[in-house]
Amino acid sequence: MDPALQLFKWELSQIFLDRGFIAKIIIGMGISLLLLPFLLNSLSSFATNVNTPNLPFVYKIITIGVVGEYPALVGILEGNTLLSVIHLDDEENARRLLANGELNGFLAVSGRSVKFVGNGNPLSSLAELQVREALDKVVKAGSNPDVKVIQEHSIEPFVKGIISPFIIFSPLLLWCLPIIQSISYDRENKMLEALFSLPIDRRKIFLAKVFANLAFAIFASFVWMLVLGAFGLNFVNFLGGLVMLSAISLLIISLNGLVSTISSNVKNATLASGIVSTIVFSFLFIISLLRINPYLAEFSSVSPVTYISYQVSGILTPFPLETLLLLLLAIISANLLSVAAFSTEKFAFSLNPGIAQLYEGMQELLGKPAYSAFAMGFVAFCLTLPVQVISLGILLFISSSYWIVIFLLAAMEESLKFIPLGVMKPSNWSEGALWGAIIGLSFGICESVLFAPHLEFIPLRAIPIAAHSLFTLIMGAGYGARRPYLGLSIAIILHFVYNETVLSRLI
Amino acid sequence: MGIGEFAKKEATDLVTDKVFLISILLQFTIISALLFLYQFYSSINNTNFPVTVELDSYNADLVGRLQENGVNVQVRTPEGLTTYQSGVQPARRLGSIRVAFNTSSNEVKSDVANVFSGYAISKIRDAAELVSFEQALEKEGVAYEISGTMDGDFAFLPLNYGLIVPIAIILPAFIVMGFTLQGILVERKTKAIELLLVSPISDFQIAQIKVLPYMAVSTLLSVIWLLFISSRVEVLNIWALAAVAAMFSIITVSLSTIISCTASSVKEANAISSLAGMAIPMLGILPYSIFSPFFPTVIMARVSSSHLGMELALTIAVLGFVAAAFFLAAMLAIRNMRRNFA
Repeated sequence: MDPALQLFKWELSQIFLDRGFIAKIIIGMGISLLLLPFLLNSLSSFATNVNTPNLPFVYKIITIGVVGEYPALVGILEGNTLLSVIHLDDEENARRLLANGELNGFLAVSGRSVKFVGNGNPLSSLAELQVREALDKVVKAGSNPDVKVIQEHSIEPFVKGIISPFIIFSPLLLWCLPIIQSISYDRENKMLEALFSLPIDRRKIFLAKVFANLAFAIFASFVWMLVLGAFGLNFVNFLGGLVMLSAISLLIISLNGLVSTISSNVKNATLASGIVSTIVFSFLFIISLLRINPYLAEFSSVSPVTYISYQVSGILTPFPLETLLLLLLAIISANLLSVAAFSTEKFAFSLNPGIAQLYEGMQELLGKPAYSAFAMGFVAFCLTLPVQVISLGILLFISSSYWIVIFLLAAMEESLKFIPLGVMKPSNWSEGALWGAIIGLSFGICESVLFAPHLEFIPLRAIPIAAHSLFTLIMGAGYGARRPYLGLSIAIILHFVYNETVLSRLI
Repeated sequence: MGIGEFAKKEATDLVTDKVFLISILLQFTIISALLFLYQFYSSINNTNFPVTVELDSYNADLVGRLQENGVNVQVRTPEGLTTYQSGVQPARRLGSIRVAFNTSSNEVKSDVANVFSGYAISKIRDAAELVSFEQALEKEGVAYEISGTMDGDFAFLPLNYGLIVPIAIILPAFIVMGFTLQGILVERKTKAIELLLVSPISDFQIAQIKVLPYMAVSTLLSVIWLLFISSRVEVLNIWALAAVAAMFSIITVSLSTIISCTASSVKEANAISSLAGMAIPMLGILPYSIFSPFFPTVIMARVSSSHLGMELALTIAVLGFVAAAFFLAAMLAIRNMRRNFA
C-alpha cells in the first residue's frame, strides 16, 4: 500500500479512536439539538411581527407610557417584546418622565383620538413605529385592507433561515479541530520529525492529514444532517446540503491547516484558528444577512450560508455552483500556501516559523524564477484580501472619503506585490520588469476570478489583468535599476489613476 | 513579589502578545463592518434611486404617496400611459427601475434579474401600507397625531442595541477567554504554574492573578469599542455597561480558568472551551421566557438603550452574583489543582 494512503488511514483512525474528542462532538451536537425545539417553537411569535424584526436578543429596550383607556391598542403594545408599557394617570406626569429620559414616548388617549408624544431621539421614533403598527392592527381588525402588497415569503422561514445556520454550524467548528493537533501538536512533540524521516513526499504527508480530517468531517456532516432531520430541521436537497457542509468544513480545515503551518506553537495555532474561524463565519453570515434588505438580496447568494438557510427554510433553490467554485478557490489557495510552508526546512527545524515561509516555500518548491514569480503573485493576492478588509474596517471609522479609500486600495495592492520582488531580488531592470510583469499577471488573474460576478465575465477582465501586469512591470524595473521606492511610487500613482477612471465610469 | 506585580505581569504579557494585538485589529474590523452595515441599512430607504411604478388603475392616495416617496408613477388607461412625475431628483445616474403593481390582485411584477427591484417593491409596500392605514383610521373614526419624532427609517435600530453593543462587549471577553485558557495550559505544560502553586500565595490570590488582569484588559477594550459606537449611534449608560462588561468577562475568564485547571489534556481543554464558547452566544437566541431579562445579551441591550431603573439594576445585580459564583468556582478549581499537585 502507498505509504501516504497508510498515513491517511492512520490519521483517520486516530480521530475516530480519540473517544474524548468524539464524546465532545456528540455533546456539542446535543447542546445544539436542545436549542432546536426552542427555536422552532419561538418562530410562531415572529409570524405576528411582520414589519419589525423583533429578535429574541432585543427585549424591552423601549419604555412607553399610556395615559387614558384603549384596551385593544394597549393589549397589542403589551404583547410586543420590544416594549415595556407603563400606565400613567395624567399627561403632566408623562411629560415629566419623558423629559427625565425614563420614557421613550407616551400615548395620550381621549375618546377616539390617539396622540403619540416622543422626545425627539431615534428610540422615540422606533417607539412610534411600534405604536403605529399596533394601531394599524386595531383599526384593520375584521376588515380587509384596500391595498396590501402580496409578499413572496413570510418572515417565519426567513428567521428560521437566519437562526438555523448558527445551530447547524456550531458543531462543525469542533470537527475541523483535529488538523491543528496533527500538525502543530505533532510538530511541538517532534512527531513530525519522525514522519519527515520516512520516504514520503512532504506534500503527501500534509494532504494525508487534510484528507483524513475531511473524511471525518464528511462523515460527521452526514450523521449531523440525519440527526437534524429527525429533530425537525430538514434539508430540501440532502445531497446539496451535504456537499455544501463538507465544502465549508474543508475551508475551515484548510485555514486551520494554514495557521498551524505558520504558527510557532499549538497555543498560537489554536488562537489563530479561533480568530480565523470567527472572521470567516462572521463574513459568511454578514453576506448572507444582506437578504434582510430586498435591494441587496441578490448579493447574499454568494455566501454558502444563504444556500443552507434556504435549504432548511423549505425553499428549493438551484445548487449554487459558483459559490462552490469560490469556496474551492479559497480552499485550493489555502492548501497551496500550507503545502509551500509545510515543505520548507524552516517549518520542521526552526523554532519560530512565520509568514516569510510562504515565499521561501514557493522558491524551494518551484525553483525557476518565472514560476515562483507567478506563485508569489498569487500569494500576494491571498494576503491582500485580509489586509484590505482590516484596513477598510479601520478606515470606515475614521473617514469614508472616496479619495482616501481608492488611494489606500491602490497603495496596499502595490505594496503587497512589492514584497515578492524584495524576496526575489532582481539584479537588473529587464529581469525586474519580467518578474514584476509575471507577479502582476498572476495577481490580476486571481483578482478577476474572485471578483467576477459570473464565470463568463472573466474574459472581460483582460484590461484589469493587463493593468496589474503593467504596474508591477514598472515597479520591478525600478527595483532592478536600484530605484525600488521610485518604482513603487509610480506604480501606486498609476494604480490610483486607473481606479479613479474605472470607478468614475461605474458610479 | 506581591500579587499586584503578578497581575501586572499577566496583563503586560497579554497586551504585548502579537496574536492579541492582531485580534484587536480584527475586533475593530468586525465592529466597524457591523456599524457600516447598520448605517447602510438605515439610510438605504432614504436614498433616491429613480423608480417608475406602473399601475393598472388610478388611485389618488396611492399615486400621491408614491410621488412623495420619490417614485415616478405611470397609470395605464385606455388611451395609453399617463405619467405622474415625482418632484424628487434621483441621486445617481442610473436607468429607472421599473415595477408593475396590480392594485386589484395586489401583485407586484418586477425584473427578477435587476437587484434594484427589491428597493422599488419596498417603496410600493411602504406607500400602500400608509394609504391603507390612513383609510382604516378614517373608516373607524380614529384620529392619530404624532409629535416629537424624527424623520428617517428606524426599523433597524434594535440591531444596534441588540447586536452591535453586545458584540462590542462579548468579543473582547471571548478573546481574553482564549488567552487565559492557553496561558494556563502552557504554564501547566512547562511546569511554570508549579512555582505559583508551591508559593505561600493563597488560592484566592492566585484566582485574582489569573482572572482580574484579563478582566481589566477585556473591559477596557469593551469601553473603547462602546465609545466608538457611541460616536455614531447614541449609547446610554456607558459606565453601567462597563460594569456589565467587567462582570461578563469575569464569567468567561473564570470559566476558562476552571476548564484549563481541570482538563486532563490540551485537546480536552480546547474541545470543552469550544463547547462553552458555543453555548454562551446561543443564550442570545433562546426564545422569550421569565429568564430572558437576566440573559447577559438582553441586559447589555437594555442598559445601552433604557433609563437605568430599579428593575434593570436588579438584573445587573443578578449578573454580578453569577460572576462572583464563577470566580469562586475558579478559586475552587485552583485549590483542587493545588491539592492534586501536592
